[in-house]
Amino acid sequence: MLASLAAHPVVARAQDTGARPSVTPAAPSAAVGAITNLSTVSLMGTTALPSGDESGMPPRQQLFMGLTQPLGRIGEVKFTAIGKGYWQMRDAVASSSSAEGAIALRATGRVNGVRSWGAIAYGRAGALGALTSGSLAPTSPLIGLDGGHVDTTVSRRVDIGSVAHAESGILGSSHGFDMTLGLSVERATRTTTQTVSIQPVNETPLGPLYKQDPIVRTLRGVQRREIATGLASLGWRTGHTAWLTSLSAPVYSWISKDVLTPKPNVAPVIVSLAVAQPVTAWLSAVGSASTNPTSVGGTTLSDNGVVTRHGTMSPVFALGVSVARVPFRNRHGESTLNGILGFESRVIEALDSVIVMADSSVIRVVGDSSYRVLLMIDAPAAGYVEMMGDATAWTISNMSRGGDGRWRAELKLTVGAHRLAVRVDGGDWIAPPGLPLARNDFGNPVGLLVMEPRTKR
Amino acid sequence: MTCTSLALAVLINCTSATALPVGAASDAIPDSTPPAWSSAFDQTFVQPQPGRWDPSRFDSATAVGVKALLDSATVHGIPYGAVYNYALQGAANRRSGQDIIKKTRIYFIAMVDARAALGDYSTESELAAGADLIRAGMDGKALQGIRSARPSTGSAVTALMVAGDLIIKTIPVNQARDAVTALARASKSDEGLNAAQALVARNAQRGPGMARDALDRYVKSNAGGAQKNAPGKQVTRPPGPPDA
Repeated sequence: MLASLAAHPVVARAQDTGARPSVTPAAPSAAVGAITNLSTVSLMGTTALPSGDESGMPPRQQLFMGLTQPLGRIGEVKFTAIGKGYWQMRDAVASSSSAEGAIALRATGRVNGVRSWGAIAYGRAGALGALTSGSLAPTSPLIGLDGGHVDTTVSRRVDIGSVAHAESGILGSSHGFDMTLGLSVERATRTTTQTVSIQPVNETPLGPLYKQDPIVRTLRGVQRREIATGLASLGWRTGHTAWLTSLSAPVYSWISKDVLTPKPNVAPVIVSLAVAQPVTAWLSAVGSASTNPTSVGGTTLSDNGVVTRHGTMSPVFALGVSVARVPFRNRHGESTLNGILGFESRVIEALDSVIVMADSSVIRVVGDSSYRVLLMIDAPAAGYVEMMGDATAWTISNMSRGGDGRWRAELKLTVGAHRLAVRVDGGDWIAPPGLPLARNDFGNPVGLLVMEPRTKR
Repeated sequence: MTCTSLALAVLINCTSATALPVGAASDAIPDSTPPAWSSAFDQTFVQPQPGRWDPSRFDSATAVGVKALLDSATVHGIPYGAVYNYALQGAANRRSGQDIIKKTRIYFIAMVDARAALGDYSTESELAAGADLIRAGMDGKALQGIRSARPSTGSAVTALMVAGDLIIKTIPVNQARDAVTALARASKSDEGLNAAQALVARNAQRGPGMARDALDRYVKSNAGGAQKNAPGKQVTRPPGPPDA
């Protein structure tokens, strides 16, 4: 995911405070946009590998667009309008395309001699995912008597999100390094609507038949997150090459959602390094490495299965080409990096957010309780006893024989119902005697082991 | 194998229960020291596996389909773990990829219906049990009835699970619905439900009619009246204890 590339490597133009080219090679800025008071139009195409979600999905191609337009000044405060956009191409089965647009107003000036900035932004983002027969339907669709395919599922998903963002900070320069420190507050909301169509199949001796009209379900979920993030960056140049390293760390977040909607990620601490190398006056090659794919402020409301405070590291490496209206080299031949690198992209995760699959499962624990459970199977004549179930991710585990002829296995189970099956000497799988049976469509009976919340005991 | 000779004992050590972070099935449990009572056994500790996505459990085509289903389930509030475990169960039973995707999809839709019937505050286990009932032929209104029969702050998972078990043990859907609803309403405890389940399990070995009659008698004696739409209203024998 390239959001991180555009999020952190903010390299502002050296001429941000005046028409005279600054001797300072690069000036990092904040998340909303490059701190420049010139009119700029920028375009950047990138590809990232890996995609940042540990899914093994192919690299993602993305296109960033941005512009700045000075609006004027009141006293010592200059105002600039910022527009930015983002488009991610659909590139794989079950993936989705997404787009985003945002506008921002930024003010820059000096407070007691210290350069500072403040900005507000509002954006809308959308993702469209359509799971076609290529991903959901059986690889060999069944054929009914009427010759038509049956049991076809088409799932269509639309994500609509909004982002409101405010930030402020200070800038400074020393010994060829430009530094920023800032704080941002952001609210991000995502509403997801999905339509699932199921064509039931009536299995007959002559083959499958349409059973009835397709069942159509529309599901909707809402997630919202407010987050305060601290920002810091440091930029410098070596010759014409501009470098920028940045750090963003969540200070605090407030997350709300539908009861059963997955909890959005808590934005991780992100460290990134970006480099931009001018090729021609208008063209520049850019590269980036980041510890995580999420953007500053954590607008990406992805559905990570595990809620962790800072998340796990998921490095992203990206390469791209940037074209900007303002040349990367001025008439003196000095590099004047500007433009798109300063336009953060905020991505609303799409249906193929396999981040979910790359992490632990979501187990909703009532009361955050767990139990140690000792299963004992009385089968003294058995050579060996095996078990499998939810607790072992349906992998076969051997039970051990005790001195009294009983077979034992200790499990740590969370509150809730757990499916379980056992077998003796490699025979048929059976539900452990005494346990209620669960409906099982896969042939072998399974039992249900229910762990009640401790508060009820 | 003699199944009837097997006996299962489940020992629950409540004092050793530890807080478990949401989403961590096992490995995050800080208390790894075996409890004192378990040290007497030559036990095998079965390390539960977290529900981490493992595409190697399926063939490549099936993995794509299952992963897409899991995405849909997770994004829209259907418990990821339940759907994933269901797909794993199919793989463990060596079913074809087509069969796994098809049945997991049906299970996913049943959970959607169960969520609509049981409400947004339902737990994963309640949704899983509700999905079983829907696939067994029970409608959403019946699920709502069972849910509303339990205390609003309590879990309905036992009631739903017992209803599913009764249906599997040849109790008609309507009778199971009425019996479970009546028993759930009669007491805040799950003991009555569990006793009815055990009673039916014993009597089902003698035949479906015996199981239905036993359930009817038990409900009459413990829930204050006969169920609606239930057979066995002409029983002349006096109601007795569950094991009678």
